[in-house]
Amino acid sequence: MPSSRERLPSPAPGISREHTTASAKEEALWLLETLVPGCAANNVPFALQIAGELHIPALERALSALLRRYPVLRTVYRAHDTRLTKTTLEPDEFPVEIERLHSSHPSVEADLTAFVARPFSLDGSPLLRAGLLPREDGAYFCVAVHHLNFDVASATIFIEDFAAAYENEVTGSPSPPGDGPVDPLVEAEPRPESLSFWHEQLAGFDPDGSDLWCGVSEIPQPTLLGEQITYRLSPAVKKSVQRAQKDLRSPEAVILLAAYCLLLDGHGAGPDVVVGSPVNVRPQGAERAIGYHVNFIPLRVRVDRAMSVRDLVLRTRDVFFNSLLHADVPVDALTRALPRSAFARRAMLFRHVFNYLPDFELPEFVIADRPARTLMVENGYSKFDIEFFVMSSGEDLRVRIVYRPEILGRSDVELMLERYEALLLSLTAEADRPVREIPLWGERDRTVIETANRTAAQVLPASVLEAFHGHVEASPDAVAIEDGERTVTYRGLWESACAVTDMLRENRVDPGDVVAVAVKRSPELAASVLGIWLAGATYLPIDPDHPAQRVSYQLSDSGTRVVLAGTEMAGHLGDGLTVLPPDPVAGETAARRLGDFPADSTGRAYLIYTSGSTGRPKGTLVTHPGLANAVAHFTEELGVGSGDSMLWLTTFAFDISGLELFVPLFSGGRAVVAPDEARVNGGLLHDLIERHDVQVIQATPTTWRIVLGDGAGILRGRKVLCGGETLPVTLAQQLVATGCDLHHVYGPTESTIWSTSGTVTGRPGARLDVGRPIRNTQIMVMDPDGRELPLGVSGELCVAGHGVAEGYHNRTELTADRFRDHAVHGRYYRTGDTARWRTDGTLELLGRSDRQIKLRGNRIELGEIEATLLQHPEVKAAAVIVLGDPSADAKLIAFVEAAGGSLSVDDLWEQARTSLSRSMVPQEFVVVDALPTNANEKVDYPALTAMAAERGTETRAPREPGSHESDELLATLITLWSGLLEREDVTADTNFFTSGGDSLRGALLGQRLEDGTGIYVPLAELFENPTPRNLAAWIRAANGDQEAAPVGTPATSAEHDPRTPIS
Amino acid sequence: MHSQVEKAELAIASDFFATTGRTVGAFTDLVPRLEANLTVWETLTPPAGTEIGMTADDYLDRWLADVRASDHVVHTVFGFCVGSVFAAAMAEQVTARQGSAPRLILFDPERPHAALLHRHYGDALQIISMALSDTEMKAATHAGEAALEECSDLTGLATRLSAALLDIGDPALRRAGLGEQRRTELLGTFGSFLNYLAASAEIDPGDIWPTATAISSATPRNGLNVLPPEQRADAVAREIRFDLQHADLLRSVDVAKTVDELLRT
Repeated sequence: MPSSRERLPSPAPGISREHTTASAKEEALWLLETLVPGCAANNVPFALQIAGELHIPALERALSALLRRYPVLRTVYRAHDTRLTKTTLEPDEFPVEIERLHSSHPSVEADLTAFVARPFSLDGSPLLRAGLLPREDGAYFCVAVHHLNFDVASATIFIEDFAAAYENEVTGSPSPPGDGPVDPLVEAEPRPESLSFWHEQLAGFDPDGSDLWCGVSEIPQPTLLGEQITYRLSPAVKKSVQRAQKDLRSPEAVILLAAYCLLLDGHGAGPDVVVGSPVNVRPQGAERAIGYHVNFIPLRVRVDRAMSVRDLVLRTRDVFFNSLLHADVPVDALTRALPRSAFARRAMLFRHVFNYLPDFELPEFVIADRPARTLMVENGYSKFDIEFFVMSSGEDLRVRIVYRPEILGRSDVELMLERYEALLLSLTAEADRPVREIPLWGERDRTVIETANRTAAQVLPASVLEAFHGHVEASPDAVAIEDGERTVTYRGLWESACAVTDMLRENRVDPGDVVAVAVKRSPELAASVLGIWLAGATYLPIDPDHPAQRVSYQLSDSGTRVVLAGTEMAGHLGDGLTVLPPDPVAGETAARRLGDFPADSTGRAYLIYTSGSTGRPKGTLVTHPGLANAVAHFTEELGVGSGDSMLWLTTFAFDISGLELFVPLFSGGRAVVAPDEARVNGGLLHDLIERHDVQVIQATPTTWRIVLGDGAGILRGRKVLCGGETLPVTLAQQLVATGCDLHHVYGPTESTIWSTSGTVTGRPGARLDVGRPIRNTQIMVMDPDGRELPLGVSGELCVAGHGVAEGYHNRTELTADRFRDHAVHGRYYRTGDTARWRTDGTLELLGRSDRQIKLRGNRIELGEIEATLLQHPEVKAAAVIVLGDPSADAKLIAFVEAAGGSLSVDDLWEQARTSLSRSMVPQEFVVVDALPTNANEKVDYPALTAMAAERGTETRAPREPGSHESDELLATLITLWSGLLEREDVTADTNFFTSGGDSLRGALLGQRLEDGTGIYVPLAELFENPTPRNLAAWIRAANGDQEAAPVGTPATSAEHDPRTPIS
Repeated sequence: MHSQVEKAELAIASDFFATTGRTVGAFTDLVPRLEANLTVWETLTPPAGTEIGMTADDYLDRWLADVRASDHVVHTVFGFCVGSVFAAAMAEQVTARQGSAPRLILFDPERPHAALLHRHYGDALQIISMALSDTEMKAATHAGEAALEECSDLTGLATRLSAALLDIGDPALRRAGLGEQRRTELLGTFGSFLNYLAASAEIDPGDIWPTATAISSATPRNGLNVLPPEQRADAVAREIRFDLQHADLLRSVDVAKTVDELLRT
């Protein structure tokens, strides 16, 4: 660039300047700048605050004196194509300017950072700049030097020499003897034994495992911007560390380092932890060399979680000292030996750094009779995800953390710091405990999570049946169920329930038996369920609309002998079963038979089958206390009581349907039966709510998405429950906008209906929380070893408390795997969902752990792709699946539902391409009228996968002669398109590249066309003519068939022939 | 050619005319959006394989031969990305021949560097990733990193990266059912592109770019956005910035309007 050439004076005539090639270690600094252009991460800054005003000519002369003394400060670098060279300018070639700075930021630190964060250019320009900021509290003299010529230790030397030089200039004293130039220190080549030590030490290390379970792993275009937090650890920590030094026979650095490794391991970077640590490599006799004389050593500590803390400290000690002995190898020489993460732009051996600064003090001193002190200045960048500087002096321990906010949030880092402090405090006391048992929680973690889990409350009455019985006694004529024009009172329902009980007993149903019920939502279904309970039995809900094979599996697996169902079902249920039709529930009855109660209300309430993502359906045994707990919680949370009504909308084979029936019966209110059609017809839903004045409506996001258009107007002031699958933020916003009271609920069947709940108000943020644990429920977020994770750290969501089911019916191994015991919270269920605690005590759900896949080396969260597609205003719903073998030929397929208007696949593809990393862009977009849903009204991913696979198979089948038969060429092309895109809906206008085709498939298309017809089409032409129609036209034009001119050539007023070659 | 052509101004557009898998906007997107009466000749990449050993002068000779042979006065030279480096050299030679300097309009002008070559290598790997096994993918990634660290000049790096892609990609593409011609087409284009990038490094556009107008996107890794502020200020005579992605720069109607305005001055 001209500006930089002008800035650098030419060497005087006759001086021949030697340009030498920079070392590998120096080139690595440069490589970073080419990968993150414009970043000043390599600038090493420092500043002095000096009382009063300074004498600027004297300052300049002092700086000049230092530049004469240290040629390394005059060294300049020039970046060539792939090479970096350096040369040293003569003192008179080097400009000595002290910039006058002005205060324009809120703090002096920010003013100085702005000055030192200006990047240097490796084009022969000077790599040192100095500035002076005069302020009321003194003058701030600030210097930034490129790391190529400098390091932190150099700053101390510089300051001492500079102070002396300034004093000499001000006082006019002669320079002290021995003030001549100091030759730059040339570092020796690494010793072979050191190289082999490191190769052995790092063998088999996979840096991919260093991701933390908080923050993000990396972003596509890092800026390396950094922030910092400085914190003084409490005096008790210093004492604890001193005690640990004695007890564990290790120096302070090792204790602090071991705790850092434990901290990283607890946050997901283990068990094979590599921490970078800078080491000053100035040899004896060259302690006062200014320059880049620091090497980062990769300290590899394998954290064996079964070993004691004491042993881990000893292991860390060995690693630390052995590594120090081999610090002569720059880390950049080692990275080549390692496997790299796919497409990593930076070859990073470690992303977490530990920097121990013993006897660290920022000295106060006197310069020319004026008090002065050294200041720490930030350059505003961080090369590492997180860097712990632990500064130890006397009785003081301070931690300064520099981190990348694009990777970790400030709150994540502050919490890590609290945990580090807690860990150091407990180290001696816990010395003989295994690492896996060491709690990694700070005070805030404990307070927030324990408060959120403090949910104990009495459940009264103790069961739904008992509550119902109470209402039958207290208000027998109150309406319990409304079904269209029918109303059924509590007494009527009781009578019918008793009739069912009698019928079951006549058919030898004993307490503890499982009785299936295959009745549609109606008063008869309610009476059947209550009747089964009164008989002491357990109900099994069967959806009559489910496939016969599934129904038959559930009946045989559950061991059911008796089914309550209409006679029309009898033929569908298989042999050997007693099918009993419940009598119609009468509207009015006079008799009361309350003497039959109480029945046992501590046993099983129902057995319910869920499909799970793979394998055969499994039956979950839910208890009466568990059910009563959830029902009692929502009765209170929703504030419902006698006279209030809730819509019974969900199919009864989905456990959440129970809440819609049992909350009214528990609270003395009304359950209003909705027909199945109300789940897809917003107008019908609207009428039902209006006619029956329904206060509470529960549905899955899928249902809300469908019915919200016509049903929105009626929701104002009503209570809405939404859960069962991911609730997109846009849908939450639409629901809130209706004026309803929105409760976002979450919970697996195995912990009884819902386990967490939270209200969504105002304008929800980018990610919704799922609220807090409901009553008598404890949530734990656990790592794969079963350790409870603190705030912000993601792991598997586990549920303990009253709602935890008894287990799976006849699935001992699966039960043992999914249901575990906790020392404090008792039995708990592992949900398989990934979540983290937020600092306000709510939980954030990050998706199913099985929806995170690795495709061709890239970690992909399918939910993230869906969230991106949902940002498109025309997309109402999106579901992304993987088809094929993720390690080989798998592809991502996005199914989308249009919001109403026209949805252009091209636009969608464009949106995906610009917002997602390349590996996450779906290869195919399929617009569907509606996403398929399973029986529980959730997006049916297995059905989508099957659909996608089927599309592939269909297209491999021979094509029926179609409308293009008359145009043989076009028909051939459409067949080829279909085959390669594995889809049948190809038309003459299907764009190959927006329908799942990529360059490779394009090449295959060309190949097959050539093999089949002998026509050769250059790949370039396929890109220019990506539809069968356009390509057919091109082929004809190329063959001189003038009838078919290229189609779709854009009209233009300019004469434009892009391929008029200038050759 | 049509009579109107003779009246139209001639412009040269310098870009790597990548047709295989290009998702970035090209001059074929921009030119139809221009209102100016303009004839645009775009640089055409030599057929894959023939570029081996070509220097920057070879490229320039090839492209300027037609201009020299015609009587056209070149009024404008456009450059896109690294094509802007060649655009500078073409503008210089055109000026020497016709005695008047053409306008120089550059879109995200960028000088080649090692990381850029490596980035394109990563992109090429992604394109063929469907045909690669995990092991091949890892090996290819590793080979790219090693080349980046070990090569001492851009030409050497271009050769290493092309060879690495060929070594790993060719058997994989054969396995996927592609004949030799198709494999060459797919992989050869990449080699050709890398050679083009490396050759451009022989040109120093530092004297010519300061006479140009640059149109910049907002993508941090492209064009003048990679320069530190003090270098950026003097890099070109005038810079017009758009809040657009690099890929969309040549597709934008607003950019086309701006170019029309520049062409009127």
